[in-house]
Amino acid sequence: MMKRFLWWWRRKQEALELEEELKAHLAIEAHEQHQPYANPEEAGRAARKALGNVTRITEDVQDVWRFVWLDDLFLDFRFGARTLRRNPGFTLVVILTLSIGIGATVAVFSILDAALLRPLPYKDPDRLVAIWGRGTQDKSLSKIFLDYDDFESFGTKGNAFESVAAGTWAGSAGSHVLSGRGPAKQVIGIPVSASFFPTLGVPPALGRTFTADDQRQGCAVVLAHGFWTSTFAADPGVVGQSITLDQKACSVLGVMPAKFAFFPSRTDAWILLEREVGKFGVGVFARLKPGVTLAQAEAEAARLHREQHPTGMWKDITPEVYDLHGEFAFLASRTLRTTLILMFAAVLLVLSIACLNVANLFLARLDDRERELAVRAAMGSGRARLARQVLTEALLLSLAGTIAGVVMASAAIRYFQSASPIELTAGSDVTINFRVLLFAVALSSVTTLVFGWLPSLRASRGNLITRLRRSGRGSVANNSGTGMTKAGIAFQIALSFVLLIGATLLLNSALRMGQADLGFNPTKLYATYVSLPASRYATNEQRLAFYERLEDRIRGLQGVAGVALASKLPPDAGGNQEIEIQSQPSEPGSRPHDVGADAVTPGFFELLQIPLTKGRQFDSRDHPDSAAVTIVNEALAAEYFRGRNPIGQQVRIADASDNHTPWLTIVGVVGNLKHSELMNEMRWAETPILYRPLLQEPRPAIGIAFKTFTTALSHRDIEYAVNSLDVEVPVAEMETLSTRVSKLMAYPNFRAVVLSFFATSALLLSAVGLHGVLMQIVARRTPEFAIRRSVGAQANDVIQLVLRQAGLPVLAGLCAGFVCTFAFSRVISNLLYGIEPADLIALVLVTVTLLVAAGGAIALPAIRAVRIDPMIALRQD
Amino acid sequence: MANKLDMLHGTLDLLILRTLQWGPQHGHGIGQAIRSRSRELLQVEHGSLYPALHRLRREGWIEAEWGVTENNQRARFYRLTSAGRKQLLSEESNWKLLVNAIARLARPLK
Repeated sequence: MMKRFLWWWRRKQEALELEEELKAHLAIEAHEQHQPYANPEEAGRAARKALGNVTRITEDVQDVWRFVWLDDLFLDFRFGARTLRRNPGFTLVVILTLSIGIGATVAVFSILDAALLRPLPYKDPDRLVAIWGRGTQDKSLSKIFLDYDDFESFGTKGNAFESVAAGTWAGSAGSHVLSGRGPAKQVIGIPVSASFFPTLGVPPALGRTFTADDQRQGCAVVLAHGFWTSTFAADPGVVGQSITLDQKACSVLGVMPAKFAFFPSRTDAWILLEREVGKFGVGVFARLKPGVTLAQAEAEAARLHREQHPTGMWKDITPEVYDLHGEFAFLASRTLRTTLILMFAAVLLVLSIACLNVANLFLARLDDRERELAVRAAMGSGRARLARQVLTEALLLSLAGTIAGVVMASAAIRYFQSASPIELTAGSDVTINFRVLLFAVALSSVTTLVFGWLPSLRASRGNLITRLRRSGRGSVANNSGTGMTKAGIAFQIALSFVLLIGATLLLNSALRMGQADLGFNPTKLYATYVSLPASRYATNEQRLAFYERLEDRIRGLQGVAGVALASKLPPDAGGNQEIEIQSQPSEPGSRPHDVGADAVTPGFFELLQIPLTKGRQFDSRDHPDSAAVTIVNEALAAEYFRGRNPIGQQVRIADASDNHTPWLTIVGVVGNLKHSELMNEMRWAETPILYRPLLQEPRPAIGIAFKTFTTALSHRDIEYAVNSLDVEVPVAEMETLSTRVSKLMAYPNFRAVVLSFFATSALLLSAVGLHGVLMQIVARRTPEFAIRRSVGAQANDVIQLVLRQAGLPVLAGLCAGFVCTFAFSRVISNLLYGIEPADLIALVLVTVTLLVAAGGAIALPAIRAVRIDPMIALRQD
Repeated sequence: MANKLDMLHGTLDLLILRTLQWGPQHGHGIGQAIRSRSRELLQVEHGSLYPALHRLRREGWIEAEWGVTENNQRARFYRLTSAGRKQLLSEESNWKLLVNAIARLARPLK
């Protein structure tokens, strides 16, 4: 094989050498046999005679070397390229159609690959698992963290696990303040067990990770690569130094590699998990021993959990073991997997439509070339050879389409990376890598087969005589192949129908969800957070003094029209505290824990336009020394007071171990806030909330909401205002409340936009395809129409003929689409908001849209058919 | 490929390889050698000699090299490779089997 290539490579040289070799042969022959001949010329002639036909020998020698099929392929390619160049319109349309289909598919695949397919960047990732708690009875409860004791018992008593790690990002566990290096800075430092990095099997890029000893040595920290670069200017000397985290000295043990990431993906550093921090529950991750199945591990985890928790609230929770890879997608978004699979399915539908279109165009062009193909067959081209010629042209086109598609995909991916409309799994990097390219090549081969195979069969089939005769002239055009074409139209219409329905539903959901009244008015409102270092703001008085000055300082800023402080700013709302009602005694631990408890300043409800429905607002009457009061929302009043007037009732926040606040008197009821649910992103929840005056509950971290009508106010101004009070108080980046709402809408919006794009492409492609096919039919039947017109057919009759060609497949496609929609809708039902999968308006809308598009596609060919002048058309042939 | 020719090709190949056993030789020389060794019984068509030489070269059994004849004529010399030597052995034994078989069939019945 190699030798042949080598020969092919030096074929010119080889030809020269052969010529010389044969010349040498002649010379030797003439020299040796010269005796009988009179002179050298005669000897030379005799030698040539003995050697025979030199050209023949040369050709025979070449045949020894060359690949017959390869040379034919080259010829096919050359011929194909020439044919395509002669039809630039056709070629351009085909390449464009294919590149849209392939480009979109490759782009979606590369996202899918990064988020769902590529193995996690850890050692032997297939043995890594996440262990969540699930409700023992109630399976509808979400996955939750497990008890810290579970983590310890799995690690010490478990046989299924090679190592067990824990980490938590619950509440404020991951929120820390870095100070001593410029303005204080909020950093995300996730507490993890010492076993965390060894379990994942990733060594640090610099220094070392935690050891069991560090647990006793005080604060230690491992930095993420990005944080090390941004804050420490990638200085390797920082390893071994001490940094100030939450006013404590922490030694930097090491830096992780740039590629390392875990959930949450924005983590700046990892610190050691202490039992005290883990008491609210920890995420448990483990490496299974080789050969241990998920079921075995789960059985053992359940047994250990039962032993650990014979009673109490953990009794109702059972640990379940999941593959870590799947859980990463789950952590990024509950709907990430569904979204990506939906996108991929949609884009494959678009690609099928594109392929069908190209196949139709191909068939149409074959009809034009019928004569050429027939002549070539008559000249002795084998059928396989003709089919191959057509397939080669298809291959050329799909090659060009694939290249253009990959270029488009890489542009789309670059946009996706810069805009990052949705959060993907931690550490996933969307790139066009080898796998994606391989996918693109596979895709292009499949598309070539799909759109080249049918036409190639067509090219090689049929009786030569009839084909030659038919291509010459004829009154009624041949209708072979139009059956296939019509089926194609029906299929395209059906696919477009499904995509349009999906896009309509998702768009509608996103719009409805975005327009839902969230219970507050985010217009012109900005939000930021500050957190006070615990060491210097240990007492309520210290914090109150700071907040009072802070509120004044912000209010005094140019352009600020109103300020409120609150421990939580919408659309963040709700919580999982338990409350106790004085008039309704209940057992600790048996109460529902679904109440959010927030501390707000008096102006909060007014600034956010949360309506007061009963009682009064907080005001100057409520100060640290006055009676403890609270305002509840309607959801709390409804759930806990069931129609009774809650004003004047007393409640308190309590927990399972019966720690509680003083009794709080309810003085007012306000409207509900809608917030997103952790487990169901396509639903707004209205859960019970209890508000306390900030003066009576000065939390160490607080949100600042302010209204401003100018856009001149920047983060720097706020930071300056805060730092003028205290440099060690970090300020989070300021955002509008609308931005915060739209972040919650990222997934629904992304789905709606992408699917709408796909559906529009599908609609356009289908319309163009239908138009092309009809044009071709009209062109082929021109003589027939001409005869009909000349014997008295009216314009209406001709239009009817065209309509009959197009109408049936369109109607069939609509019916098929209708049926498919019901199957498809069930898949996306949990991505919808406020709309049923079988939405009548959507169905009608889509049907009308498709009919209008089809009408447009039919109109032009119909007009052309009507305009046929019998005299001209008949004379032409 | 046409099966009818295979036997002939094979025979010519064997003859060429055999000739080259005695040392490098150019195309013309190989033709002459076969003719003289078979006492003029076998006439090698020059037309088929060169394609055969290239085929053997393609299979890697012989190598070509430019050289000069004793008459100072530049010519392409062919030489057996080790693979060629191996091939020669197996072809010879095949050939012997064939000859024996034919001889047994052709022997008059007693």
